[in-house]
Amino acid sequence: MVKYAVILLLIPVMMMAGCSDDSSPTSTPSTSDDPSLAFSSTSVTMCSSDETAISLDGDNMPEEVFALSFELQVSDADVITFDASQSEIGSLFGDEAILFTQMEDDVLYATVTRIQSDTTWQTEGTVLTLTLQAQAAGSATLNMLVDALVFYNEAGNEIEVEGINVADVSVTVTN
Amino acid sequence: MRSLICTLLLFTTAVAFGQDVVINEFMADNDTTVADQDGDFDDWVELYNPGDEAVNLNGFGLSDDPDDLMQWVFPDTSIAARGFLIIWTDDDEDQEGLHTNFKLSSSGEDVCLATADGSLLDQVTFGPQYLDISFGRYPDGTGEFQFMYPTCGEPNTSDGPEETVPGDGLFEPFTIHKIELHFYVDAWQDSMAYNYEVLDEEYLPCQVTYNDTMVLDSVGIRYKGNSTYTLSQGTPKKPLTLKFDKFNDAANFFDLDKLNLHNGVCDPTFMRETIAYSIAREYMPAPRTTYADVYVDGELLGFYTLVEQVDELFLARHFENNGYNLYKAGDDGAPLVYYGDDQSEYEEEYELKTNDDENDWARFVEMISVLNNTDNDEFVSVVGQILDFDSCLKLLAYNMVLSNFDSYTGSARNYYFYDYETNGQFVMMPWDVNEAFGVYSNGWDVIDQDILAISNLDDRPLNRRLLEQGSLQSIYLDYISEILDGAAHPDSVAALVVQLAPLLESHVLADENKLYTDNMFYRNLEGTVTLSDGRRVPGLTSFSQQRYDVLQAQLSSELVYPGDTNNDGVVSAEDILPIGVYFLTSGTGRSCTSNRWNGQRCTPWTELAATYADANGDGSVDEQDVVAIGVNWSKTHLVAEDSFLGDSFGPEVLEEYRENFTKLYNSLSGNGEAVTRMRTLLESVVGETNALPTELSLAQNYPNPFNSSTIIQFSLPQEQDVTLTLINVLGQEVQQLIRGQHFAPGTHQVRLDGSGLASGIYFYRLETANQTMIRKLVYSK
Repeated sequence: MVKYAVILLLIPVMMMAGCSDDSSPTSTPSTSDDPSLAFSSTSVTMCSSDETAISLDGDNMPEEVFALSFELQVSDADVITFDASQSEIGSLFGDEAILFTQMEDDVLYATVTRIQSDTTWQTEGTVLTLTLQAQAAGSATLNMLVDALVFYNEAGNEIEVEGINVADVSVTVTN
Repeated sequence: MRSLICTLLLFTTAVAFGQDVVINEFMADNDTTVADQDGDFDDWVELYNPGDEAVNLNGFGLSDDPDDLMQWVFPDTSIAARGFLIIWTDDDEDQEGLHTNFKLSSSGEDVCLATADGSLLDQVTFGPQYLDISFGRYPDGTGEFQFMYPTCGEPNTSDGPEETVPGDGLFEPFTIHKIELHFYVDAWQDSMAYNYEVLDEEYLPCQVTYNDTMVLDSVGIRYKGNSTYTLSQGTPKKPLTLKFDKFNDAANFFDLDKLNLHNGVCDPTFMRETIAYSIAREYMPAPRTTYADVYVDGELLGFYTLVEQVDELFLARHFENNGYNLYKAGDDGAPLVYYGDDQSEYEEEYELKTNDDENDWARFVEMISVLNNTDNDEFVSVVGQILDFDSCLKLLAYNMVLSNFDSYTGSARNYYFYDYETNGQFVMMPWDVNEAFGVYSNGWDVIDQDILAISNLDDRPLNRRLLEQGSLQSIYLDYISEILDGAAHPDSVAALVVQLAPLLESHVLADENKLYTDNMFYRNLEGTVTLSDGRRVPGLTSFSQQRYDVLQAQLSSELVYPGDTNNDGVVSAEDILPIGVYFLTSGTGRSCTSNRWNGQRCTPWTELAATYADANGDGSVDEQDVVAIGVNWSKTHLVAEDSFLGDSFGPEVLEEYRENFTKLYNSLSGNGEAVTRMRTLLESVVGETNALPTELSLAQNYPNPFNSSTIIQFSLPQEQDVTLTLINVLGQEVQQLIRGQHFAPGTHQVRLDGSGLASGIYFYRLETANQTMIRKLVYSK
């Protein structure tokens, strides 16, 4: 069986002109059918006061995954933060899914869940798109807190999804 | 040995037609009271002439057959003015004087007096009579018939024996009786088994000797029970039923027609039934019990619990009228599911125990129909007309407290419904509680079983529908608390165990046909034992204490259904709100973190509403709790009450949480109906916070009419003092809901609790410094 690992790269959207954004893809596509979850970029460079989007994408997600919660720690909120009001849900959890993202202090709390009886979910696609807001020049990392990354099945029980490691995203903000 | 039955059992009618002479007194069981001229103690009837002139009775008729009024014809005989005349009803016309050709039956019949032209002049229909006690009118000629000390040929008096109850003297607490059986056949066990298994529980005649003093011949006896009979295969000590009037209509035992002898097949302590029924009797009509050593021809068969039969005599003890239909749940389960209006659909699952000649189940089918088919909005008012909620809720609470699950709650067996037409309601009563205190588990944890999160509610419409009603659920919880701290308190149970143990000990040890060892009797008083079939039987006292602790904890905890974060009974868009309000609030987590859709007990947080917002029970309201909304979207459960933010969006609440709601609005993304509804809701909520009323207003309460509580909302254009009063139709103050309280401008609301109110129309009046407004509401219990 031919195995695919597709990392979807969402082209960052430049919100402001005059300062180029430099995003590096997470990895090169692999042929593995292991489930994966990754940000569209692992390295983002942007100008202060700029906004840019970064997506979290899944591939080969087990069908039993009904919901996903995670917390994203921002190492330096003086450099970068999220605008939760601009978070956008992707297609992976279906047309009826709920996305909840809220920024408190230096942490983005996020959950995306299917709705019972909705059958439009997929095993690959974008989970969500987050909007980064550059605050001031400097460097910061977005760190997926391992203990807070939780998958749930249809019954709401936590389930293990082997091989899921979400790489940090480094952000550089320039003047 | 016979005692008087209460007069309620007697169906007495007296019909007088114009003429003066009446039947005034009679005796149908004369043994020592009055003798005739030959010294015979025969039955007699006394006539009374209240008129001012003598009446010649020549040609009049006296009869015990309403269809043959001239059964015996008076000779040329007169009865004096205001005089009495005795006629001996002894079926002995050869004697001189007035002796009839019939006798009266002490078990009850009619006595009729007819004029010479065959017209009925007076008729008395009577029930069972008692030895050497007459039945007569007081005052003479006009009064109601009652039992009295005989005044043969003299004016009647009101003196009579005190009324006693069938079974008194037998069902004495802490008494052990002796019952000796003698069968008229040799292979009595084979005959009994054949009669039970092949002849559909046919009775066998036997002789019963009680306490070596009283002998009753031709008493009906049979094996009884369903699973208890099956479980008793290995012992001759099987459960028995004695039917004293089976072969002799007039026979009885302590005025009882029937008696159950239970063999304690599932109870090494021999106490469960006794204690469980004693607890039940504190709250509902329930059988009495006592104990007996039962012998067969001098050989001990076993030590039995004697249990009162639920029959007309039982009903007479508990209801003013015992003539209505009594239904019993069948052995295969009787879940009260509606199968349509055809009574034959129900005859497999239920037994009609009285009035089987009429065999009219119409009201029973109607009760099941309305129970199953009435909308929630009108359930209490409609179903309450035909179903006695109180008895059902008490029995449900009782079953829960005692883990008595071989009952409607678990197996759907072992209960009665009495169609008490006097008040039009079916009354539920318990039966066969020998597996109480956790013997029959129904597959549940008998210690930890939740009082609300009950897994079989979909199959038990009575319990489901009662608990769906917030007001009834509240009563149910109150009954659990009452029973738990009352008769079922572990101290009370332990006291009974301590009292019974020494009384029973020697009898249990002597019972060689019991299904347990002596040691199991001792151990099971406190600790768990395992029966030969593998069943674990909790110790009586330890079970009581553990169940008490668990239920107290349940009563003081909150039942959280993950995802229903506002606890309104359904997972919907509104459930996102508490998560936003209490985001990152923490409290006590549940013992098991789970989004699984069942009621999960939780220690209430300081902020009660936050308890529900912690949907997964991990002790923190956070993004993970949103998962439960998606997982359990649209699911419903039994509503306790709204706990989140009262009735959700009072202006003060909105103001307090406006920032949270705004943030929450911005936190949501999605294209589906759920998110759309959440955002629409939040838009309306956040929008309302900025709008202040322009004038004073008093809204119509909602719901209206109501049966548990209702919300009254009013709006103030500026801050001011407010008084809100509930008044009745006479203008009298019933309750002050708000007394001169200062309110900020905006819309406010208050909940009116209907408990304690009589059904009817009320008004609520809002008063401010310069305005008064009144609206009408309707409360319907």
